[in-house]
Amino acid sequence: MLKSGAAASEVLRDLKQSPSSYSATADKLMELSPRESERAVKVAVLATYTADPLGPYLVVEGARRSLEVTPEFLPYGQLETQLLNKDSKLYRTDPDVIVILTRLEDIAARILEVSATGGDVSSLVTDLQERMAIILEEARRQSTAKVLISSFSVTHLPLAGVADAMLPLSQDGLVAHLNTLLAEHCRKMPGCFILDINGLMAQVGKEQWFDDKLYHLGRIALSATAQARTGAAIARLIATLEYPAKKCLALDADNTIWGGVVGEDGLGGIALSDLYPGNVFKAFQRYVLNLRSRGVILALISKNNPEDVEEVFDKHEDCLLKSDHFVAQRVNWSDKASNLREIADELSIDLDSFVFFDDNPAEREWVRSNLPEVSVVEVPKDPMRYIESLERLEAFGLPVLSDEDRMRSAMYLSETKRRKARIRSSSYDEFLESLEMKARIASIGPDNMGRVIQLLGKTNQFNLTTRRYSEVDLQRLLEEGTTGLTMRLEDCFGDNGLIGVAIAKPCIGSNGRSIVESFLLSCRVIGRGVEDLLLAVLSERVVEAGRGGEIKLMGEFVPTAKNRMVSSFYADHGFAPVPRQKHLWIRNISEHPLQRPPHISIELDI
Amino acid sequence: MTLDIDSRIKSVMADIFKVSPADISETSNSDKIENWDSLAQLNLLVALEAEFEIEIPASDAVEMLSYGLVRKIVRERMGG
Repeated sequence: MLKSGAAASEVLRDLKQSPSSYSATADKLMELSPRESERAVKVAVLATYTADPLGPYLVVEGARRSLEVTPEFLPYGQLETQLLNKDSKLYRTDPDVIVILTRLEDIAARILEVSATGGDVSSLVTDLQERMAIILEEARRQSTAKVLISSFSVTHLPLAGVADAMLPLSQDGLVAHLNTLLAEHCRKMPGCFILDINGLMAQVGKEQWFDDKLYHLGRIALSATAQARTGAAIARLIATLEYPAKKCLALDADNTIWGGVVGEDGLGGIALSDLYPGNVFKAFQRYVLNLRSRGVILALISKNNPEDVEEVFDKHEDCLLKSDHFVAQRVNWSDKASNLREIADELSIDLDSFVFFDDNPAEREWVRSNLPEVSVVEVPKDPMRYIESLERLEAFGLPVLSDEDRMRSAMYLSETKRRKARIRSSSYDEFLESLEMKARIASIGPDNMGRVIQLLGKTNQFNLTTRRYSEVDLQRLLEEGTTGLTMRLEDCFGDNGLIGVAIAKPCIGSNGRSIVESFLLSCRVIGRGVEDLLLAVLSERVVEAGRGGEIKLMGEFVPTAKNRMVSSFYADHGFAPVPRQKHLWIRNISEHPLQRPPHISIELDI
Repeated sequence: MTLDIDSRIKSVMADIFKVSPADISETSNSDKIENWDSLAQLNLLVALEAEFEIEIPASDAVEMLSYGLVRKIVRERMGG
């Protein structure tokens, strides 16, 4: 395993930013297949133009993100031919990801022409939306692959020339309108995501995006630059879908969130202001706060006197970051690896969910060698490039933002306050009482599906079976008479959001027996009896769903490197081991129902 | 210098056509190299333009179907 991983990274080390180097590197990577340290992904590309030159970029940019991509290009211009026919070559290759690339010129040239003369495009827009809806729905019905569809874009400059901006609907306005409608549709389609080619094209520039020669000689609607950028964008989106995002950004203080050393330069001497060079650090702080508002939690690890750092947070007028923004702080003189390990414990977050950002190369090396699972940012010397270096890591990307993501920091912070409250409460039972917990248990449905998939996908510790599901898998499972529950939890400190999922399905052919497929709890609420409640309600539901008589619930524990904390979960809840089945447990729940814990009030919404 | 350009051309062709540079000789052409099809022709065009920072017109791009022609056209474009 290590060998093939090492070989792949060696091949990547020789990569140069040239088309021939990508081509040669892709060939070498394919020879190393299967590359065991990478996730294998079959990617089928369907385009309205010749997209085959993307191949090497998909392979190489995939490998840079630990994906072993095997690209398959279907003949161009066959969206319907391939997607609407269940026996098509597309479905026969059984792809993991279907990429659909379009240009408005190819699929809806008429809209562009009518719009450029100020005509009414509404019926044409409806036609296009219907066409795309059919394509996507059919893809969803025929395949469990993730579907990435490009945003609509126009390669050429506005048809109406200088008059474009005066039109009722300018070309860009039209494209934006169509993309809003496309996004609306994709949000409703499980496992369907937009690849923002239009945004990428704007970033690179239309003139750079298109190469007349390649188009007229070979119907390739992507210039050399566009090929490279599109390949990387596809690989990035797939990696975001395949691998969980990092959760915590651990920052240094001196020369990181401000310029200079506060212990030496003093409060007034550090660089943090609206003027150069202080504005560079202020911009970095603003960027970090934006990450936080998108759900990344922040930690501070600084070798300093705590009073000095606290003074900056409290008194420096240009310091946007405040003490409260950090869910954990270690301002001390101990080594940063130990500090990180402590924070990981405190927040119940795995070390592989941390990104470490420190301007000091020695600290980075120390963390890298002691905690190889932590992502260490190669921080550039120039603070103006700090943001770029973090962006380049692509560590914090989420394919879709949920309300929970935006609230996460607040939730972790109140967890820290809770821990403090617990220390003050005289007994743990009193503490639990004082939390005034309110649980709301609901069925898994369209409203919470996204968050459920996320939790199933990233919960490692309190997870009995660690089964991951795509939305499609989960929907299928729920159709089979399965009981699927979610739990939200509120307490005196605030809303913890959706923190638990439990799924039980009847065993085939075995009368009155159900098995718990998945049972998990978000780490920040462990140890408060909520798991007892969720299991009790799950078994009540299973009994109600049964046809009377004796109902038995089986529990399964699938051990992983991370879930040892729940190895005795079923034993602790009065389940008996199933003879000769190492990880299976059983309990007669119609005769011996499980008790709901008294200290949590319940609202059922099933 | 001339030799240097030639070996760079061979190396680009080898990368694109998935062969070893040693397999590219004076007599190599699109009939003899298996992967040299119309799509690879355009990949070669893009790769040569990037490697030598030149622009090859479409009329030349469709002509360069042998190593000899590739070399001639690249050299012309480089003003040599």
